[in-house]
Amino acid sequence: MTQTFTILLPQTMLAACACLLILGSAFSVRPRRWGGLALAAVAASALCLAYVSSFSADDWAPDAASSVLVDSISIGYQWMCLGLAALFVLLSHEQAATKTSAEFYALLLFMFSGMMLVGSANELILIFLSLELISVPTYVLLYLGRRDPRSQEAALKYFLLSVLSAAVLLYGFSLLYGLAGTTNLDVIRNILAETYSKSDSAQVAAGGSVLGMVALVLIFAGLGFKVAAVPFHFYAPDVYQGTSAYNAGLLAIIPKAAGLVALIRVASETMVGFETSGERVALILAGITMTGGNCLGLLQSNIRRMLAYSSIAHAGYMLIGVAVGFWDSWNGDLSLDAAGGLPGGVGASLLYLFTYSLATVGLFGVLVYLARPGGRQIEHIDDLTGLVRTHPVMATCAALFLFSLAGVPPLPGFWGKLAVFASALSVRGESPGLFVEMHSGFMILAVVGVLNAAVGAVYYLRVVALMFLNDPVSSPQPSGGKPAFAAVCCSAVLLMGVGIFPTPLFTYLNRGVSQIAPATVRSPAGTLEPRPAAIHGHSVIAVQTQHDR
Amino acid sequence: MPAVELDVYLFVAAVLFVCGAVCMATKRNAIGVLMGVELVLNGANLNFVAFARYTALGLDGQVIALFVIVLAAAEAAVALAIALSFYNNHLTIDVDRGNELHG
Repeated sequence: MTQTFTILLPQTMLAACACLLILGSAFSVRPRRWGGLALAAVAASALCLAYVSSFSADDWAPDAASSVLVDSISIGYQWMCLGLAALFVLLSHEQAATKTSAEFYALLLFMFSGMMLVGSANELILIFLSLELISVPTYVLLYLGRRDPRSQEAALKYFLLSVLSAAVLLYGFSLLYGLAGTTNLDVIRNILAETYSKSDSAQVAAGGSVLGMVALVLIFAGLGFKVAAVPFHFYAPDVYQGTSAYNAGLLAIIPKAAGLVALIRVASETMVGFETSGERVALILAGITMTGGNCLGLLQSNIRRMLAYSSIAHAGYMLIGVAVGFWDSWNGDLSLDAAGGLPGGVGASLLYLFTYSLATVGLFGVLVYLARPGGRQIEHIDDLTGLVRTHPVMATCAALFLFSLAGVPPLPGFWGKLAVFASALSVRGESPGLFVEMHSGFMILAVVGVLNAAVGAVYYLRVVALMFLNDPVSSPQPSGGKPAFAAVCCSAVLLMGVGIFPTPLFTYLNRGVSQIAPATVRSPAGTLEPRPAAIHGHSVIAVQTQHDR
Repeated sequence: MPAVELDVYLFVAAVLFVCGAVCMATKRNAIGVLMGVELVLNGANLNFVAFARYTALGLDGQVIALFVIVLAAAEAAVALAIALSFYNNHLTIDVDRGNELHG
């Protein structure tokens, strides 16, 4: 029990500081002070996280029914969250200088605390509640201090669709609970493995039971909204356009990261026995998400709308990794080594998430910094014309971020795309034949992905060309303030650093994935039982659960 | 009196789910849409409680139902604030009247 509290220390710290800020909002303090306090809260949480990550894996007492887990993926993900939190607090320097400053920072801290909680959750309830801990402050943040009809429409649209997605997700969880009989993800995995792997393989080939398949589809629908995958993406362009650049940046990163991690935890790692159907759903979703996002992105002239479609397209690339993750958990870790040092499957997805978040926070940071005094935003892409003459540093940073999103080597976006495509190509097919043992579905997906990367590059490079090759029409007075400038420069430097020296990140993710991948299945008693090595296409998963309830 | 089986509860929950989804799709009033969402949430709740009761799975399901009820209340509070502020601008809570954002 104490262990659970220790693991949750960073999140608790953030949430407690958020409560203090809400209490403190009763007193009148200069609005700018609250930003400093929020930054201090992030730093305190980072200290707690450093304490948690100072333990090695052996230090934790094996507690299989624990509702939280700690592994290198969750630690790395939480560091990423805290880094983003610091950047967002810096960016909000001018944005938040209003009467509601304290509430603003409190909501921000709640959102990041929920985002971190998703990484350590090992329970269906905890995952659901932490996703809601992100959503509810988001509704208020979209609505806070903005009175114009557009932002109200954005808040209403986001609210109604988000609540629906949460309800659908909950329905999916309820079916999964009925199927497995528990809410603990480790135990669910073991029960499903026992039920579906030992019985005849015909049932497994058919994709598990109907109940499980319905649960899987509902979970994909609910979390597809969070990551903005295509049939569930309709809110994104409208909401990004209707709200401020700052809020759009939050929406582009926090729900997407949390949704992806939840998808990995609940679907690809847990739903053993549903790989065939899960893989198909993820493949189709990834394909249409990439294509839809990129094609519609080409048509946009509003910068936030364009970035919304770009964030949709990137969700598609991340889903490739989720699809491979399903395949991995069925067949063992064949694709890990095949990609030559790059992280495969789930790891590739997380690498992609990291590179995407870094470039996106920077790009929205540029927009926040360049906003005109009086709250007028950069709306049209043409507003950025000739930016290199008026704000050379911002233009260079923005170009870096856009190049990274487009996947130009050696920026991190390129490594992310490379890892995702390589892991899709490393999947071996059922019947070795025409093309060297590749799985036809994944091969098609990789080809679609590469074509999409080319289409996506068009609209990113169009913005870069506008900024660098044309003469400025006006010289906007930036109102973002020095902290926002510093935050943008920070993320640009970090982006370059990660792009040029990506190896430590690869090593970290590879280690993390082999630690959490079901190659070793954690049984309820806490002992690790190695799974027999997988053979082409089919494998026998022998798991002995000591679960009796 | 014949005992009520688990599948009856699951059926009712599924009916609630479908009703909620249809309500979301057809209602144009923001509060009406919210009611549809509540139906879906309660359908899921019914599933949790029924599974917990009928399959000897412990109390997990019932605890989740409690959490979800509290969560739904929190969401309703935010929803009413948003609807009120929408009304202040548009003098209606017809969701179709919010049509400035498209493209």
